[in-house]
Amino acid sequence: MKRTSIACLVLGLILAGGLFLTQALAADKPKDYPTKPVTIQIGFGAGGSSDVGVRVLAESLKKIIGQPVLAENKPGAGSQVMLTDFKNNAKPDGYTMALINVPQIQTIVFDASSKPLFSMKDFQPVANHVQDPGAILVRKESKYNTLEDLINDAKARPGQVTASTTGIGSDDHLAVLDVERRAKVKFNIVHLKDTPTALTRALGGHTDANFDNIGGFLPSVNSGLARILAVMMEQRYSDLPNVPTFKERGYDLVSSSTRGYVFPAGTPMPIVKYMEQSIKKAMDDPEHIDRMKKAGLTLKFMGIEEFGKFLEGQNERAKQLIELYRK
Amino acid sequence: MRRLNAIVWGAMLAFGAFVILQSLKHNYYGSDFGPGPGFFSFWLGVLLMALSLAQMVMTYRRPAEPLPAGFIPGREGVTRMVCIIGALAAALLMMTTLGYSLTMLGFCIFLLHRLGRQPWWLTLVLAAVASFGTAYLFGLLQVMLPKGVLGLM
Amino acid sequence: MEAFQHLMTGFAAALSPLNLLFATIGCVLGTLIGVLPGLGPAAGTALLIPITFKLEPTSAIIMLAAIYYGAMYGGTITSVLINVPGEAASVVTCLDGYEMAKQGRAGAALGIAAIGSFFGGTVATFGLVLVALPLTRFALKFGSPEYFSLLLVGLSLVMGLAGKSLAKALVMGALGLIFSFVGVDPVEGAPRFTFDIAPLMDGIRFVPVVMGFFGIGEILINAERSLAGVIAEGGKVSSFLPRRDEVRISILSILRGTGLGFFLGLIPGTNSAVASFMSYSIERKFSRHPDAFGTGIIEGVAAPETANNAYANAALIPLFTLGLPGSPTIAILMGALIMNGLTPGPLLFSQHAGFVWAVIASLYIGNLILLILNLPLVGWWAKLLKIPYNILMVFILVFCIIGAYSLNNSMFDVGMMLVCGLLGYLFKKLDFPLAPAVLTLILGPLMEQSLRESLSVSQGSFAIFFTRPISLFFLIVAALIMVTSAWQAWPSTIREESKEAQV
Repeated sequence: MKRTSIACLVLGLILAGGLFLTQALAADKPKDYPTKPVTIQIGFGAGGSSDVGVRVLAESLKKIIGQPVLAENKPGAGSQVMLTDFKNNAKPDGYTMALINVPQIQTIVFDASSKPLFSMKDFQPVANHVQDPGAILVRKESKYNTLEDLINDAKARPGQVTASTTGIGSDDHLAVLDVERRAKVKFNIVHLKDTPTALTRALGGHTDANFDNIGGFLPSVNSGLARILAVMMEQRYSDLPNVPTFKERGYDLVSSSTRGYVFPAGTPMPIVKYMEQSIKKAMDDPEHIDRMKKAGLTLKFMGIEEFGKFLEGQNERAKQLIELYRK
Repeated sequence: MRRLNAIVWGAMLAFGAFVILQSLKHNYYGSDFGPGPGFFSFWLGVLLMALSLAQMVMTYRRPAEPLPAGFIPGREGVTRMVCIIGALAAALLMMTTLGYSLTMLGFCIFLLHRLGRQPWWLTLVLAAVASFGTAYLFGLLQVMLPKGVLGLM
Repeated sequence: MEAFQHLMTGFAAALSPLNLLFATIGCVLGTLIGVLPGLGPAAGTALLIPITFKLEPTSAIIMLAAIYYGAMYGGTITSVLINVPGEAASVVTCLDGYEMAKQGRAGAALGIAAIGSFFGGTVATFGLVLVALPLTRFALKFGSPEYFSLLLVGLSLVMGLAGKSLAKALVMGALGLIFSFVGVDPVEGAPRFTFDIAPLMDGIRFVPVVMGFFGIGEILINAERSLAGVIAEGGKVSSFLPRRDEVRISILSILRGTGLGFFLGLIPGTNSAVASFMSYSIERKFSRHPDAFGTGIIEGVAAPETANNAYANAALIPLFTLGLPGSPTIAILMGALIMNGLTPGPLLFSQHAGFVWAVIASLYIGNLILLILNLPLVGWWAKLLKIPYNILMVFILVFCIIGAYSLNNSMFDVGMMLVCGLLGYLFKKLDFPLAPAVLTLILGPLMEQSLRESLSVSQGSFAIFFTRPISLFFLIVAALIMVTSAWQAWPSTIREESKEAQV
């Protein structure tokens, strides 16, 4: 009898302890979430660098949240089509996330001529994933060996040196404008369709300087067809230790194509926090790190708050630069 | 034939005018170099109007011709076309609420019954294959099809 | 000779049982992706990238490349059988391929497409081995002005696509251009003809439009008449070879298609639809019976299908030698290369010679597998047409809806397809040719973009088009084509008029 009751007590304690432990472990896991697949909407086509980043993350994220993570492409108008649809149709239940590209989203929201049907308030920042630094590339035959060569020539021949971007309102376009205002020069800006086109024109010598992001540059730089004059980051890029930053050269200029995830505004905070932590864990997965490195995508985690602050800072910068080209 | 030609080329003429009007909203010549966003649409509108006018004049200078045989569809033909267009339009409207499978099930049953004239059991089997079957196949391929309010793909 | 030795080593690697298996899997998957609506080559290749993480790089790329050219061929099947082009490159095949199918010659159309694809692909790969490096240097000479003038040659061929009436062809060409201008303009970012509808900002998408024009339009035409007897029973479906009188003309068409496809594949930025359309127009321009095009003649299938595959294989040249992807699908392939630790570019040949030559060898083998796989299947595919049309039609419609929707996950595109279906029906009924509109729809955005780029570079001076030799050459070619087309068209319209007057 006694024995049985002690046994019962022990069993009870173990059960209670177990229960407590499970609860403690699950403290950051909201109840009943996730119980079905989570979809990530991408405003760009399948196979582009934004898309590849999401698909690589999805592979690791699904192991952590225990549910499939699906990538859905809704390309169009620099992600405006997807964002409009996301604002109108995505429920704030934690099962639909969107990839946003900074500063692309700002150039839609703050440029009146793009007639946006949403504002920054419609999105709840979750976490940042990728930060692809802006950079200037010239082909190996180019007469520019340093950033100063380029700036001096642009000063000597205002409006004659051609600088290519990958489209109006792209982060590269903002970067050219930023260089123009900081270095007090004027380029002849040529908007090209996409990264491959811009690279083709630069390697063929049809444009003088190619403003784009490092991720797309690495193949041509590694194979010696081109070189990078400067990167637009706070610190030097780890794989290119010899390339200076703009800051080192005295220009207060930081620019990148930054990609993170948002939920619709109004998603319950426990879910947002849980997803933030899950993304962080997924980004620590060695497999994920290895694949992203191979894809030439630079990881940069920012949590809910940090990502939110970053977005606000970019709002200001984008507003100023948009004014420069919308006169 | 004459009247038909006049209607067709008249419509083209009107469309040309519409294109020109739209193009005037934009810069004719670019703010920096070269033609602006309105340049090509303007001249294409002009080309459309000129061609349409020329064709209209030609129509009235030539002797009238009868319409080609079978140009005007019979009643049955019109009914079939209306069925198809209607079914497509209905599917388009209902897809986002009903979801892919249910919409296509209804779509196929309607068209197979109406135009296919098959026995009921075959209609149902074929419709199920064309709706739930394709949904399953494309689900395997990770192609996303519209989910309805019921959450059914 | 060194290249030859490398190639032999490559063959040894590519012929390993495992790699042969992956090439075969790739060909089968690719063909399926091409046949299934909504999965173009780009999306199909992208979906499979995660799988390739788990494979050894050579096998992975061999499989992806096989999927890529398999899908190019697969797209042809739906164009021929049901007049639904699965992707842009096979639109032009609808014009004569589907007509052949209606006459009971689907087998011959698919057969000549398979043979042409094989020949074009193999020759282009041969070019990759022999002349890759010097040719890419030439390709880099293509800046925006050269590109614009080349596209102008394409545009000048529109007049050659005219049927009975030059005016109707010009109107359709103009309509295609106007459609192509919808969306945010590449110069100032001004939204044109968008009426504040967000999906229109990016322009009218090509595939829903052609699915509507051809697929839905054809169904409506058939529904209006009678659903019975749309497709003739004629001949043995298993006969996939051309008739004896068609052999010579097919061979010539395949040769021309190969040359053109190969050349365009070298130039980054064109796409396979440009290759297939220009090849069709050129065939028609130099044909002895241009009026027969669109009635189901074999060179209307042979030439563009060959060009399209020669293009696909030649487009690998700028990728391997310079790391420049010429088309979206190639860009995905490049992504896969990079993720497998291989940097495309001049060093690829020296640093990863084993890999490159194995892949090149696998292109030969893959093209052969595709041929062996597809010729026997031709009969099976053609048998699909034995399904009564009133049932087949419903499946075609389902097919079109999935295809239009899933390319961009957008119901708007399905609506666009429906509208274009109605337009396609009307145009067909009123005898307005669809081909010029489709051609200009492809060329319009490319031309405007390259014109703008050129003028930005030259700071507004049009002299840039005349002072650069390659550009000037294409301008002269375009002018010659326009003058001769006008010359040919003139007497025929007069003849036409007098004939009409007699009726």
